[in-house]
Amino acid sequence: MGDPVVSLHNVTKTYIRGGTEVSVIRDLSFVIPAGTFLAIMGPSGSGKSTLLNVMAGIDRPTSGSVVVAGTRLDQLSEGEMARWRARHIGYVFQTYNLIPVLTAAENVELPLALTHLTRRERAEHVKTALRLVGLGDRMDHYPRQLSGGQEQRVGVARAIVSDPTMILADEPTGNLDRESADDILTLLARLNRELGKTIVMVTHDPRAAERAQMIRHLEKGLLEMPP
Amino acid sequence: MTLLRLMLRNTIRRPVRLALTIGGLAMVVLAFGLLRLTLEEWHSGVKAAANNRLITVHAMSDSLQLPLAYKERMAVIPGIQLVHYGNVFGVEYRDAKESFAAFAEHMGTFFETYPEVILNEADRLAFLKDRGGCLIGWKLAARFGWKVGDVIPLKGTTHTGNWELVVRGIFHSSNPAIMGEGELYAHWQFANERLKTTAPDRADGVGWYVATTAPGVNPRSVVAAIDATFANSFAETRTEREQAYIAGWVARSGALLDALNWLSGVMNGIAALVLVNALAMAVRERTREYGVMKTLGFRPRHLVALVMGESLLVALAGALVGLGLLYPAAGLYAVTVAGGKTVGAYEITAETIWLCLGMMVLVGLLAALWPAVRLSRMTTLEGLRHRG
Ligand SMILES: Nc1ncnc2c1ncn2[C@@H]1O[C@H](COP(=O)(O)OP(=O)(O)O)[C@@H](O)[C@H]1O
Ligand SMILES: [Mg+2]
Repeated sequence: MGDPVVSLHNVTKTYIRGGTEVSVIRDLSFVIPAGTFLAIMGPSGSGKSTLLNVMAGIDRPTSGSVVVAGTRLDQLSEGEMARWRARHIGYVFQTYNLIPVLTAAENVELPLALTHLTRRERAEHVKTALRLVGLGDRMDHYPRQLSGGQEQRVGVARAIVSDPTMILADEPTGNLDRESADDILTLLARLNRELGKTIVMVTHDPRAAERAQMIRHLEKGLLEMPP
Repeated sequence: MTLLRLMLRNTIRRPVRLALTIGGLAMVVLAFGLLRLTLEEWHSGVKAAANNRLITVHAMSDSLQLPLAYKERMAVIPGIQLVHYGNVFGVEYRDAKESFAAFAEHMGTFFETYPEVILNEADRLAFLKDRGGCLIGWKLAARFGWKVGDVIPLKGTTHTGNWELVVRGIFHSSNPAIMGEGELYAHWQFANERLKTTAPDRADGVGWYVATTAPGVNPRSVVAAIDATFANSFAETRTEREQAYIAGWVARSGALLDALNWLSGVMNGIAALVLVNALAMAVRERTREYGVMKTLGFRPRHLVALVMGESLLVALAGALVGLGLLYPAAGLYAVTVAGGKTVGAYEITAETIWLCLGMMVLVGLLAALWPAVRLSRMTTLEGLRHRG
C-alpha cells in the first residue's frame, strides 16, 4: 500500500440542535493509504455520511485538520474546494442522482464540462467509462428508461470519467436489489483492483462491506479499530 | 456544450408551464407595444402639425380671453397671410357624461386655416350659409347617432342657455391629432351674439388667434413680431408655432405621460413576476440537481449562468411571441380605436421592437436574480439534502 491519500487529525464535527451541541464526530484521527478499498460501517445516525462528506470536501469539520490528496481541505475557500473536488473526487450517491433531462452519456459527460478536453476527447472518455460499467449500449437512454442497477452504474461511470484520485460512495447499494447490488460491488472492487482507485464506501450492509479490503466501524462518532 | 444542452432541456422540461409563462410574457409585451404605438401616434401628431400656423393666446393663461380688435392689428404684421380666431364653446349634450370638445370658430377663415378638414363641398357651403348650424366629426356622429339635418339640443355650460344646432356636415380629418374627429364646430358669430345678451362682459372675446404665415416666411420671426405688437398692452400675448404649442400641451399633460410611463414600469413588474414565479418554482424543483452539480465541482457562476440563460431564453421567447401578436393587433387597433384614418397608421417601428426586446432582456435578468442569489448561497449539502 502507498502513501496516505486521506489523513485526518483530531477531527470533530458538532451541530447545534435545539440550543444544545450535538457532536457527530469526536476527535477522530486516521489515515487511508492510497489504493485501499475501505468500507465504513455503523448504525444509522452514527456520522458515516458526515465523515464521508468531510473527506469529499463538501462538508467542513468543526475542528481538526483534513488532508486529502495532498491538500489541506479545511483551509480552502468554497471556490477552491469545488475546483479541488472536480479534480480529485468521484462521488457515488445512494439515490444515483442522475440529471433526468440528460441521457446516460450526457450525465457521464457532465463533469467533463469542467475540463479543457475537446469534444472528441470527451466523447472518448464517456464511451470508455460507460463500457467499463457495462452500459456501452445504453448511451442514449434517459435515466427513467434505465433500471435502478443501471442508473447506479451510470452514477459510477460519472464518478470515474474524469479519472479522480478517489471514489467516495455513500450507501451505493442502499436502494438496490441483491443482484444489482452485487454488480455494483463487483464493479467497485474491479476499479480498485484493476485501476488502483482508492475507494471509501459507507454502508450499513455487512454483505456489502465484506467486498472491501478493509472495514471500519463508526459508533457514535468514534471509529473502532479492528482488534 | 453539455451545459448549453442542459439549459435548453431544463427550459422545455415543463411544457405546459413554459407555454403559460411565455403566453403571460407575450401578453405584457403586446400591451406594452400597443401603449408605445399610442404614444408614437401622439408624437407623430406633434410632428405633423402645420409649420406655418402660429397660435396666439393670452400671455397669462390660455384660458383668458383676448380682444377681438387684435385681429386687425395682427393682419398687418408682415409675413402673416391670414388671421383666424376661435373659442371654446362650452356645451354638453344631455348631461356632463355626454360632453365633448366643442369650438366656436370664425367661419370666414376656418376652412382656409385648417385644410385638414375633409368635407364634401355641398355640406361645406350649407354650413357656411347657416349660422345656427354645426359641423361634427364622424366619431361624434357615430357616438350619438347624429345625421346631417338633425337638430341637436345642447345645454350650455360656460355658454349658458339651450342651444339647438342643425348638423350641416360630418367631417373626417387628415390629421386627427390636430383636428379631432370627435369634436363639434359652430359659428363664433352665432355664439357671440347670444353672449352679448347673456354675458355681455364676455362678448367679443377670443380664446386664440391662429395666424397662417405666408410661404417662404420664417415663422419664428413672425412669432416675435406678434408678441412685440402687443407688448405693454392691456392683454399681452404668447405666440408659439402650432407644433410647439401642441408639444407644450402634451408636455403640460405631463401627469398623463407620467402615468403612461408608470404603466410601462408596472408592465415590466408584472412580466418580471410572471417569470420570477415560474423560474423560482423550477429552480426549487431542481435544487437537488444543483446540489449534485456542486458536488461534481460546478461553482456558483456555472449555476447562475444556467439559470440566467434559461430566464433570458424564456423572456425572449415571450418577446418574440408578443411582437408576433403585435402586428395583427396593431392593424385591429388602428381600425377600432383610430378609425383607420390616422397619420402614422400605427406602424411598428424598429424602436418599438428594440424596446420590447430590451424590456424582456431586463425582465429576464431581473427574474433570474433571486434564484441566482439563492443558488449561490446554497451549500452543496443543502442542495443534496433538499427534498422536493
Ligand atoms: N445539518 C445538520 N444539522 C443538524 N444535525 C445534523 C445535520 N447533519 C447531520 N446531522 C446529524 O448528525 C448525525 C449523523 O448524521 P449522518 O452523518 O447522516 O449519519 P449516518 O450517515 O451514519 O446515518 C445524525 O444524528 C444527524 O441527525
Ligand atoms: Mg448516511
